[in-house]
Amino acid sequence: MSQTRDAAPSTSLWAGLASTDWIVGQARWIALAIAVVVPGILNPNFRSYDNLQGFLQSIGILLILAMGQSFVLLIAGIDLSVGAVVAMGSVILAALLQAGWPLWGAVTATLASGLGVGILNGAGVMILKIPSFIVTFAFMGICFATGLMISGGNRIGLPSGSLLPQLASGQLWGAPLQIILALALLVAGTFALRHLPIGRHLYAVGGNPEAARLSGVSVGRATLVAFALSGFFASIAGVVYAARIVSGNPIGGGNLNLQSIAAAVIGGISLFGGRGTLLGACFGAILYSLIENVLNIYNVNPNITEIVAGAIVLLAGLVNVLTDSKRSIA
Amino acid sequence: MVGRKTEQRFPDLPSVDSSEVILSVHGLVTATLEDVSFDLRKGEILGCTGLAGCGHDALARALIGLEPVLSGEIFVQGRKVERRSPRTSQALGLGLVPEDRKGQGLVIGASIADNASYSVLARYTKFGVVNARSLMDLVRRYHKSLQIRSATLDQPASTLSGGNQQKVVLARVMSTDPEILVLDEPTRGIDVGAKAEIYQLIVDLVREKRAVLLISSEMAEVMALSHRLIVLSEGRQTATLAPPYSDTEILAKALPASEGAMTAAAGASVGKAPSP
Repeated sequence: MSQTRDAAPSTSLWAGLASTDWIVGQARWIALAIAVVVPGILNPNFRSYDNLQGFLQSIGILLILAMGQSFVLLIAGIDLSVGAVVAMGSVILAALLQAGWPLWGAVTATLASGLGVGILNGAGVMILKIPSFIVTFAFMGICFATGLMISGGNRIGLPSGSLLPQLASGQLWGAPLQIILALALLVAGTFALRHLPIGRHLYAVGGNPEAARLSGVSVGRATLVAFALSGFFASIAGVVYAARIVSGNPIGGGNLNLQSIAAAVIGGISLFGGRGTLLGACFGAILYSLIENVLNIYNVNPNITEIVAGAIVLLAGLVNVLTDSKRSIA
Repeated sequence: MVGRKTEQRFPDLPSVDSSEVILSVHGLVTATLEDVSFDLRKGEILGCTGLAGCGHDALARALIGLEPVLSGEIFVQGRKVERRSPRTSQALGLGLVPEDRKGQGLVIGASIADNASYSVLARYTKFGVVNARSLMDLVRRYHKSLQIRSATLDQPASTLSGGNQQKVVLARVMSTDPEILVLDEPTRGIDVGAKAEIYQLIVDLVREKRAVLLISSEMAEVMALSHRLIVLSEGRQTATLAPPYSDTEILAKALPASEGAMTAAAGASVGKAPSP
């Protein structure tokens, strides 16, 4: 019709898309800079060494969870069970250590529990064709209940002398262990997404499952892998969580679902799938934690922090809707 | 409707010199298709036409394994196809260019390079890791041979014109080196220039001894490019024709039974039938 005869692709449109991406990319860094610099200048507590140390030792869990959540968001799903897997994982870990299991055995069993829940989530979505928010919502309940049953509803302390708390407070070459762990997961996850066929398949499935299927991509396998990874990462976060609070807490991690989604979406993972990187998700986790930290320093009611988290998800979701709809029109 | 001008757009059809049947369909029945049978030989273009909604989309989907087959048999290279899925079809050398380019052909937000390589990611690996270099070589090769017009390979498919988007889909399908191509409305919604290029490509494909099932409701297209032609009407195969084709005959076979009889009787009014 009005389409010009196979003209070279409209460079202005391409340049336009590129520049919006560029601005969005810069906006993130600007937001991060503001979140660091402004309170840094205004508040000596914020820039204190103790606060920095405390900050770094508090963000490992969210970093890991945001990355795990990202795998599922990439295939246009959502995982509402991660918070419960963290809680259940911490309980399983503490209970096994109390039962005299060696640390490696207890950690392995904990990770297996998260991986198992992830696989079940994936199977529910893949085989039963139930929307992911229903399946993972169900497993949220199941995992919380399992943690409560194992623990009898109470926190389970770690055996005295356990090495586990080192994971949360320990350092290696001056860097907190949990940050090193998160970094290792970031490198491994990014490599998998960019350089393994299954990683690229996740993007294809999230971008257009029908086209992916016609291209010979196994949508089912991609779904299973995404949820398995999310569950696995959540259980790793559960181990860090138990190390941090030196116990297993069956009712912990309740707001981690919202936080992990907020972090991933702030970091540029599309809620509609197929778009974003783990590095972005980590960035989102850091920015989110910074905001939380600043509100903390100014003694803002912690509940308000949650309200802020909700508002951020809404805002990031709105930006997501606006930018994605622009793309689909183009 | 089918004047001299349009005829000139079409490249010459090479003759079929092989008698080797590569795709054979016997009595195919699906929810929308009733008893469709045909043989497709190497180097042959089999046209399939009909009015919109006659079931030719269902035929493409059934062949590729997207629609359940209720009865009938499909043989690819003499072997009966039992479990059909897009993935197994691909392994058998069957490639589909789907009708709905944006809905089924492309991951519209992903880059040209990504879109062109989705089908062969698992093949271009070294120790399980995607071999980016050889994969990009492959993508560049098709980018060039299909004359996809784009500034880079990294720009999203959404930034391309319809014709170039279709060529990206073709690049992906070609990357699997299929023996049989099912092209479902391959020129729908693209401009005249790109259409001519795709016609040329189709002819080139059969010169390479590949087989093409060309499904199209654009009658001039199938008439000019088919060695043989099947006509579907309301899911039934109403004719299997050989050239020279007459558009009056095709139309009479394509119209639903009741209307077809009327039109045949009316004779001269056929030319005014709705163009696709």
